[in-house]
Amino acid sequence: MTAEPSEPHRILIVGGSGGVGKTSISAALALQACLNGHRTLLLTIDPARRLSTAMGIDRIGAEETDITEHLEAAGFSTKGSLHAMMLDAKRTLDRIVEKHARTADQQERILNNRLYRNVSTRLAGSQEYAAMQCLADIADSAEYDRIIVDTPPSAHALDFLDAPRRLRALFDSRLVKVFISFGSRAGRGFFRVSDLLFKALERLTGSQAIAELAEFFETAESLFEPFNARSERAEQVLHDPSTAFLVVTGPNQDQLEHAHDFKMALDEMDMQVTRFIVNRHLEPRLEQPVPVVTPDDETPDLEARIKRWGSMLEKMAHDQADLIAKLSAQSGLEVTAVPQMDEDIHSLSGLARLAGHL
Amino acid sequence: MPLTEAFEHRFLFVTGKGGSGKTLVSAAAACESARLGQRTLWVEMTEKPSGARLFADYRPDYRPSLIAKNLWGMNLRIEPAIEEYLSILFPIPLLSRLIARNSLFQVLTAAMPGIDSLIPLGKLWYELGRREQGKPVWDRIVLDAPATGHALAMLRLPQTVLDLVQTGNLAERTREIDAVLANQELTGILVVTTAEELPIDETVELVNEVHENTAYRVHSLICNAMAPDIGQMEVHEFESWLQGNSSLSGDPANDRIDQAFRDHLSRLEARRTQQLELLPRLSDLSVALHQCPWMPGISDRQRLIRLSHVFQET
Repeated sequence: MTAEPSEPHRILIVGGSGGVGKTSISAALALQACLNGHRTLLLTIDPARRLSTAMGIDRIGAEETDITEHLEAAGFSTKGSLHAMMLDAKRTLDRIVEKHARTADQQERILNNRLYRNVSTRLAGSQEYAAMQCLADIADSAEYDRIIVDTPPSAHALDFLDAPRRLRALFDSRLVKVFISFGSRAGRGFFRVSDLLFKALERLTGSQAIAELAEFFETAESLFEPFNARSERAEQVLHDPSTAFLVVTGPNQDQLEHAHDFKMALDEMDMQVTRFIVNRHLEPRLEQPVPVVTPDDETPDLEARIKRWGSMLEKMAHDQADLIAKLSAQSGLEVTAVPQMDEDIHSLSGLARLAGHL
Repeated sequence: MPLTEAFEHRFLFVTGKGGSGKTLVSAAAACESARLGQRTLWVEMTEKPSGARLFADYRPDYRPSLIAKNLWGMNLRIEPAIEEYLSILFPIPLLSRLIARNSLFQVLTAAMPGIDSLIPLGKLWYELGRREQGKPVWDRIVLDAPATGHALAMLRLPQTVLDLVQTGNLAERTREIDAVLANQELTGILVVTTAEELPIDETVELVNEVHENTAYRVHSLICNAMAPDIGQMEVHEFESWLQGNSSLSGDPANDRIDQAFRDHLSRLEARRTQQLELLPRLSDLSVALHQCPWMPGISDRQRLIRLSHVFQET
């Protein structure tokens, strides 16, 4: 049995830049919560194929799927449960439309609007939008007492949080009015500011795209209320005292700096951060680093190569340890350093080992 | 196929999973291109450019600035690009600035899906076509494109737009952008990855998506951070040292140091084995595959120099 994690929070959002192992960490945290007896939900984005196969989630979709039995079959016993769902941007947005459309005709027209289809399936940012909507939905579900949310891979951790703001801006009532007035007006004067703006926008994106956008706004007007309500709810959830962020990062200097910046930005937005997880940390083997033997590219001698790479790795380990200590001192937060594992994580036992470090 | 073959393209689109080192690879490619005497523009497109970390005395900005001989750099951000585009469309400077800085207009453009892909592509197309005194301004443009997901959205954009719009200014621009990306002599798409499970999944998916759903081709894969082969020709001796029965020693005077080195290097060797096992998944894609070494313990600037040397040698 793994130890109780340090977060008492109901919702844990696992944030950080791309490529630091958020997905594996999220899965490990979910497994841990489940083994600790919690009714757990894991919202995952795009796990590596072998990992999702190992977890029994390679065929699940946007629906919450109980994988507790799969865990039990693999030899884990728990009083808790683990549900998992994979973020499906299109499904998530479609569902909101289906739920809130006034008539079947309206639903049909929105779902078939080309602009809507492109937004929901193909364009950058739709994953972030959908993740937020999804978060708002699952937060209200009484089924779970632990919810672990993986975030979409993006270069900058903050992109995820920007989504609700952008969505709200898009559905801002003033903006909607401007669009609707544009769609319904045949002849336009030249001197009105909004007309000028539209002229500019038209040149950027084409009149057809704008007409389509206007049509979309007209058709979907009644949906903006629920859409806005959902994203407001998502923001509430993000600020709720029972929600916390966990910032995952790699052990290199720029990654740690980025993680610190991310934490500062979260502070500014009044969101709680419980701790940093520094993934794939190389642990020092000695109290003091040994001097690095000068790198000489084509070292002919095996012993020299051993010395060179051995001393280099030991130095790297010490550098990382220093940087991690600095991050902890700077931020005043707990930092959990997860050592580099011997293999990629693609099995339940691997996840359990990872969870042991958390 | 040598990596220098990539330098035959005028436009290099470099993407890859975050953390794979694509920025460094794109910068090294740009350096190498400049070294070969080509006027080269290296383009980042991010809120947090890393150009200043890679090059001394370089401050990334929207306006291209000289980094070194034959090498210019810029950071392609959306807002100034929109402002510049408007100034071409509306040749009254005050008016275009007024529009571009209007807050409603900014919300409109920020909310307009796809604009964050379209505007940069348009700007790149413009720079590729710019000529002064009868000659192209740039012999080569190397784009440090966004990470895989967003890059894919960018590459799909021309088709997405053309599905929506068939005529008008936008459709024309998009057709021109599409023609640049589809021209395999002009454009080379490079995907940077590391030999680990998840990055490889993502790379395979990206390559398949691009090949199946766009008219473009991925030109080269660069597998970065390959662990060093320490044993080389003396692999048996190395293995017996790893197992602790060899007269070799990382430090004959200090067994603890020898043991520490052994710990580190056996992990490194395990990682190398895993990397080699995963590589076939990349070579199966029938796209030229190149490897770059892992370069720990040195600064990004030093890494850039060494990577440029790797490019020279391959």
